[in-house]
Amino acid sequence: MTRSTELMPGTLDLLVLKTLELGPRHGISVAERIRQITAGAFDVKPGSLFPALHRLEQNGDIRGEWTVSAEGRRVKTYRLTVQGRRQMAAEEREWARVVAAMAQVLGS
Amino acid sequence: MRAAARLASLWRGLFRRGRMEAELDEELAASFEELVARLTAAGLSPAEARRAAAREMGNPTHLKLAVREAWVVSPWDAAAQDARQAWRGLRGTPVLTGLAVATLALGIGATAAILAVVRATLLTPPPYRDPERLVLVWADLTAAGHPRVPLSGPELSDLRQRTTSFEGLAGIWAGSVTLGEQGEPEFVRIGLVTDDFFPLLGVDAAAGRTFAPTDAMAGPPTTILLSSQLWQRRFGADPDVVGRAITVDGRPTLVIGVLPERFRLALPPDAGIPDTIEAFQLLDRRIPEAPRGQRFVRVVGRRRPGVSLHEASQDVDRVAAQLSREFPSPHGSAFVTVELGSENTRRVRGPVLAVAASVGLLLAIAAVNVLGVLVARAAARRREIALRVVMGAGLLRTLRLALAEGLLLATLGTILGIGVGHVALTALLAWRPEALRLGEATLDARVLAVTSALAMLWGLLFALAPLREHARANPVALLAGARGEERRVGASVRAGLVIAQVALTLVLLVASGLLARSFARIQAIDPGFRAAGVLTFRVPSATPRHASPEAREELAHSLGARLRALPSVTSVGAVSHLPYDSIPNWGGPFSPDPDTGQALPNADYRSVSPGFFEAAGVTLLEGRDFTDDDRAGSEPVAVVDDRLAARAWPGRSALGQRLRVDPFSTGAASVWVRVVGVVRHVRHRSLIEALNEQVYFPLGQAFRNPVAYLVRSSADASALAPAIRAAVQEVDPSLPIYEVRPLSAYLERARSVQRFAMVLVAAFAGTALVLAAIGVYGVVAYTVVQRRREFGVRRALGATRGQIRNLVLLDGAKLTGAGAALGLAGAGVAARLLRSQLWGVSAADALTYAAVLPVVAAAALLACWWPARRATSAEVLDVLRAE
Repeated sequence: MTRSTELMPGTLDLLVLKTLELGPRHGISVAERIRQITAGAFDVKPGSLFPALHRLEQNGDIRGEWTVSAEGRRVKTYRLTVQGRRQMAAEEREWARVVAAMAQVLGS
Repeated sequence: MRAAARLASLWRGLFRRGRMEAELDEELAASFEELVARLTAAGLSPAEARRAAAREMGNPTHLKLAVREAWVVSPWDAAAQDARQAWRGLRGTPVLTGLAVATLALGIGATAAILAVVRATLLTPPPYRDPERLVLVWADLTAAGHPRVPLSGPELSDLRQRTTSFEGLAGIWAGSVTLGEQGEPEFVRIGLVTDDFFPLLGVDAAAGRTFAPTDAMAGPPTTILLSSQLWQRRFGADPDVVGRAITVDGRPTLVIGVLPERFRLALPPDAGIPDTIEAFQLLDRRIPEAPRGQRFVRVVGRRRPGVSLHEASQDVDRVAAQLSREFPSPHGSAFVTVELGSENTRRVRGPVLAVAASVGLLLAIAAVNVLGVLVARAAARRREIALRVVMGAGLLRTLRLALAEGLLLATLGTILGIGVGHVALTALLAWRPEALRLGEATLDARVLAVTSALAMLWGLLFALAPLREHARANPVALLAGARGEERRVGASVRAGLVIAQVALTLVLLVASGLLARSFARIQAIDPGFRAAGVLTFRVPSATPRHASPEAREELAHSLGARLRALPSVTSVGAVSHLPYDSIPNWGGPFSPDPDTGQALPNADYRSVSPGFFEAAGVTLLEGRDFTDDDRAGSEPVAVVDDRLAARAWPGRSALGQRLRVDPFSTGAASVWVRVVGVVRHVRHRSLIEALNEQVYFPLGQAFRNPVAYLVRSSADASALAPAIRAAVQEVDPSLPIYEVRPLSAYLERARSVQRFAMVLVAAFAGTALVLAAIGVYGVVAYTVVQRRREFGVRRALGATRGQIRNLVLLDGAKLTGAGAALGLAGAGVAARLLRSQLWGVSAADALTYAAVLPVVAAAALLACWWPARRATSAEVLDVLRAE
């Protein structure tokens, strides 16, 4: 069992956007993907995942559509919108700035 | 882009919420199945997989709540959500909510109705162009007992020529004419004006034109300007009537125009210009040459822009001083210049403000009442709120919810209150005390705006007061079940609210008691005549066919004979003025022989027929009534009232004495009359103000047209109306008969403003009493519920039911006592403010206070009685077991 890390506030949105960068996914698959790429460091529970998805959808960064999954179940999949892509880029830059600043503080 | 997305989401949030909820459910269900599938694929048994998936998904309610929070993206949406939640909360306590909304609606409704009245009576300027520049100029004969007297024709013309402060000065006088020939003869009140009257007011004709200087004639007018109402009623709104000749008083008269529908005369009631004027004609062009003593012109002036009332007044006073030197007269010439607007409201301001103030008190009581309900409710819900706080609802969220509840209550109360206000105003208008000129009172946008703003202010207050309860509550202690905490918190606030309600109610009750007592005094005033059993009507006493004195005499004689012959009629008389009617007063100087040497006030003059004193029930103290022999050509005679007799011939009989008077308004007392009778003084113009001495002339010697007849009957007088109409028809079918009404109607009219104030304040006081009783009941009942455990323990320890009941009653009595003490102090202040509205009753009238206290005490104790009984019915073991 890998140790899961507390998500910093605001980072979940960026993580979700990043996950959807390569293609549409449904909610459970987004959580799974995050767990995979962070090697289990971030385990996003539905309790925070779904509010985040809906918040992003309300903002117009992602769009949900009803599709049929590979297993033939009807699921709601989310894909990144053009605006979401821009938003992601902006947040990535912001994140890089924060990381650099933090590194400087911690490294000095 | 983002803004567009938010707008779209707002739209979805407002109108597609149901669908969004359904989609969310579906999405979560699908996700659950997905999880189960994955877990099963990972090797779990289906049952285990379902359990694990459920664990992973967490509490579905919380999850959905969190997602819904995410939907909230605009303040508007947040407010809508708060409102929904507030509504659920309010619905949870239907009785308390209903009580609060009903109380609010009552308070707001009353306020809206009275605001509309205040606006229509006090705040609406006269409906003319730049009304603030309009003034009235009166002659000031205070020394003769008349602070406001019309001017004479020459005085108006002097003022026009010698003042510089005015754009113009116009005159108006009231008269009456008979519209004839086509259709039934009809009597119409007319205004007699100078040609600049309408331009001065800034009023233009709706059809045709108003008067021009070239219309002015020497002699009877040849033109007429119709009101829209008369034009519609008599001429069927026929546009061709303008430019046509109609018959007015038997003479062909040109209709030059029709006034706008919304035009109305707005002159102060004491100007003696009736509101019922329906047409206008021109004053005689020669009025500047009329005698200076003939004061009949009501003068309206328009100040030049930039000229203050004070400057205009000084300008007028300067001319008055000149006239005093040029035309010496016993009382000198003094003028008084007043604003038309404030003069119009002078008489009604006091009563209307008294009513408005009592509505304010009622509103305060209603607010305190609702506050009490909400505080009690907050206390009852403290566990719920504490739970929310513990569950992590932020203080901001709690505040928002409280605000939403307060504003929602206020909104519901306002909506209902506007309905209540509408009904109340309709009732008020149906009642319509003439003197108040309530005609234009409506719940217009401004009244509604002010009322709603007031209600929302309350909403804020309602939200904040219970918050205090929440803030003081210690959630952990509460949830741990520290019951003692509940009683202390807020008890003092609730006690304060009860005390405030009782105090405010007492103030209102005292005010209403004082007004009722003074109305009873006014009601008990002996006006000097007996109104019961008398029907009155007016007819012209001369027509073109009855122009000569002989013909007039014949007309009066035959009409009198026919009326006297009607069954049940005991006496008949005619008079120039009915008590409290709206036609201009008639009066003049008098000087007795021998001269008393002192400057005497003017007397009121009346012309009466033989039999008038008997028909009106005026007591003849000495001498005789007039007879048919007191006619033109015989010795001029008069009947005087006892006051004049006592003033002119102190200690001696007035009979046979000679008096110099001025029945033909020449400006000087130049006609000698012999006193043949003395009657009791009649309060014929005002019930409560001191009036002038009275001189009565026989109609045969001092002819007036038209006259009013009084018919006294031994049976129901109003049943006589058809027979009277028939009698008038028989005498002369061309005689219009009008204003057929009981004499008592005039008397009621004289008391109408006082009655208006008294009845309304009494209604408010009664409502306040009920509200306060509900308030006391609510608080005491709530305390009883909270103290049930204590009562249970007391009962277990041996207290009797009676002892526990007394405990509750004592609590109530203490609160009531404190409120009453405070209320007495407040009532003392209020009564002093009300003093100008009281008549014959002192502001410190002990009887009123003594009568009101037990009423409040009884209501309060009654309100405590029920909760007290509930307290004793608490079953000891039940209560203790519940712990």
